Amino acid sequence: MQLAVLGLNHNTAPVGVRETLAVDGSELAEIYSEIMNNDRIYEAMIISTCNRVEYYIVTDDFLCNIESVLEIVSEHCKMDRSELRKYTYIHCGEDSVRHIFRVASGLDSLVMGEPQIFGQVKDSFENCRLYGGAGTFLKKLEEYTIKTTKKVRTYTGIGENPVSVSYAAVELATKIFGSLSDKHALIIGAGEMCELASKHLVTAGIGGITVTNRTFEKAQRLAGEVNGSAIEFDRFKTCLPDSDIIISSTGATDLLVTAADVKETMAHRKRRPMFFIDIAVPRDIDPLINELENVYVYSIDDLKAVVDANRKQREKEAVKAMEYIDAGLEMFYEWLESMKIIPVIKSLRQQFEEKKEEELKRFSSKFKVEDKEELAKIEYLVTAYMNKVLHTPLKNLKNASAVKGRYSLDEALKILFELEDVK
Amino acid sequence: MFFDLSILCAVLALLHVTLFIFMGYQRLAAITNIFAVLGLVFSSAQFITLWQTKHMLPFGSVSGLFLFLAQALMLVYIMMYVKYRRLTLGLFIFPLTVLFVMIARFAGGMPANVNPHAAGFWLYIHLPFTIIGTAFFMVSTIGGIMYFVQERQLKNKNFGIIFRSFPPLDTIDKLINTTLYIGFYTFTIGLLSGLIWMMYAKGMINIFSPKLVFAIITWIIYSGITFYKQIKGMSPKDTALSTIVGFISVLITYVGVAFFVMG
Repeated sequence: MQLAVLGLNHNTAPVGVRETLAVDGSELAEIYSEIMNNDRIYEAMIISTCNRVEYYIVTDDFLCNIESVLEIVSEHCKMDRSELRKYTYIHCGEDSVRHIFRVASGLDSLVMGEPQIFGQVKDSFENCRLYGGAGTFLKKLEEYTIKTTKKVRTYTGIGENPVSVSYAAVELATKIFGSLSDKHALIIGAGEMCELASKHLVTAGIGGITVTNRTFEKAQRLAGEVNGSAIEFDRFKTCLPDSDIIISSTGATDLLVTAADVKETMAHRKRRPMFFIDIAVPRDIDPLINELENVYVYSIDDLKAVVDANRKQREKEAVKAMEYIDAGLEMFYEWLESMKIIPVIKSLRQQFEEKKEEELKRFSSKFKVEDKEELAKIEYLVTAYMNKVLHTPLKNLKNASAVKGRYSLDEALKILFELEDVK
Repeated sequence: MFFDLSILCAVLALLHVTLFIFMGYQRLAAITNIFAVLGLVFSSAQFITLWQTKHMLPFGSVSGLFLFLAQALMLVYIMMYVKYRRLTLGLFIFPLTVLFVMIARFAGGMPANVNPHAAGFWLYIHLPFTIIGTAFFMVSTIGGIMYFVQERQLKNKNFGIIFRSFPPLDTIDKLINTTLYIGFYTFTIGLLSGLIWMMYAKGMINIFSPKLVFAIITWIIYSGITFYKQIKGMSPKDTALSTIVGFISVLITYVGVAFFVMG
């Protein structure tokens, strides 16, 4: 049995194709049942997010069975198979297990290291159980995927160092102020960038937010969304002394905050640090303010430089993450190897059971034992003896099967029954 | 043997903190702290060994003094790590610890002319408190230097390894404040107990003693910083600068007095 995956993602397919192939929650039951109708596909799972659609199958012959999945997908999205093949990739065996570990850890995401994909992969495993696609293989794969992803996220910085401008701005604020819980932010403008930055600030635990905008209603709306307060645009400078973080993104053609304003503000603040983030083009905040002591001004270009540096850092962290992924892969394949022995163990047990039944029948007819209670006691004794005798070799058989190696018969016997060295 | 083990642990802690900064593996952080704790344990064992050999606390020797200073630095590092979870501090503290334990290792033993009767109760209060206070001042100065370095990174928009590994400015400021206040109170106890000891040992307080004059100047500088901070408030940058100024007076007290005044 091996795992194979047929999929497409943001690297292989344009958004239009991804949209066509995306699997809606309501279609899952039908597609799962179509895939599972194939007798040679034992287990299956579908991951469908905005950036990827992937079909995982557990099968003996991945080449034939991936073709059958491709056929189902092409029928479902009404796209020609040869056309579909242009956008898809196929992995099998170790590569497919490594692939799902990479996907769940965010290494294969559009924004490397983004955390949402982990939740989406977990949901996909849950759906797979719900629609009857999961068996021993995928259940164990889920366990190892979760374990490996948690290690990657805990022990590497793959999720650190934000790679979006608004989040990078908030991260920079924490580099100055540490915790934001006792800090106040002033948001100048109520556009998309301001909205995003305000939401990131709230997530980071900001103490309070004041929003100002030329259209006061818009300021009120954004303030309402982030549990903050709104102030009229012509009065926003009165908030400066109490504001530690100032984020500005307006369409103003002149500077809104000048160095003289901040100089005066700093005297009121006893020179406690202030952080200005100017996302506007043309600029709202006078760049000369950065020359003042304890004041830091970052423009959109500076933030882009932060994002670039962070992206490079995440790429470095990805190398570290691969070490954890390879370790997880090794552990998963150890388990898989140990599973190969299960049918052998089952057949050995069955053979012992059959022999036991045979001998019990012979015993009762030979010694004319008819008392059922007495016969049950004898059966109990034989079963207990059989279990005791089998316990050690079966345990060792299972353990040794995970380790690749060849043994002579006498060596194998010694290992199985834990025999002392015989001279 | 404990001397060598202490040096080895401090060197290994320094090596691991450097690797942690460049490679970022969390395991390296745990290993660094294990070596820091082991370094403290071994230097303490060495201190007890010196104490047992001489049948008195070994503060009378250069070896004992530097060993205790190294111990105090390790202790302050561990305390500050527990409070702020910042490993980068070790990058500055561990080299100092290695240096001080090495000085202690190669300096001679207890001078022959130490009068055990002079080493009364107050001296044993004065010396440890002064040394621990100095260790706190040292760490606050390290914090001050870190503040300036990180502040420059933010101003000049350098997002390299220093920017990533150094703590946020606010955390450095809190660390400076904590070590500054603890250092000041400990140093004050050390100074007062020293005055009392001087009175008992010599029958009078010699206010013209250069050591005392410099120590009082240091105390005045640090008390000025702490009281000004309390009453008027001080910007984090000024606090960082004041720790450096304060520590220069500490250096003058120890190095200046020992080498230039006392000969």
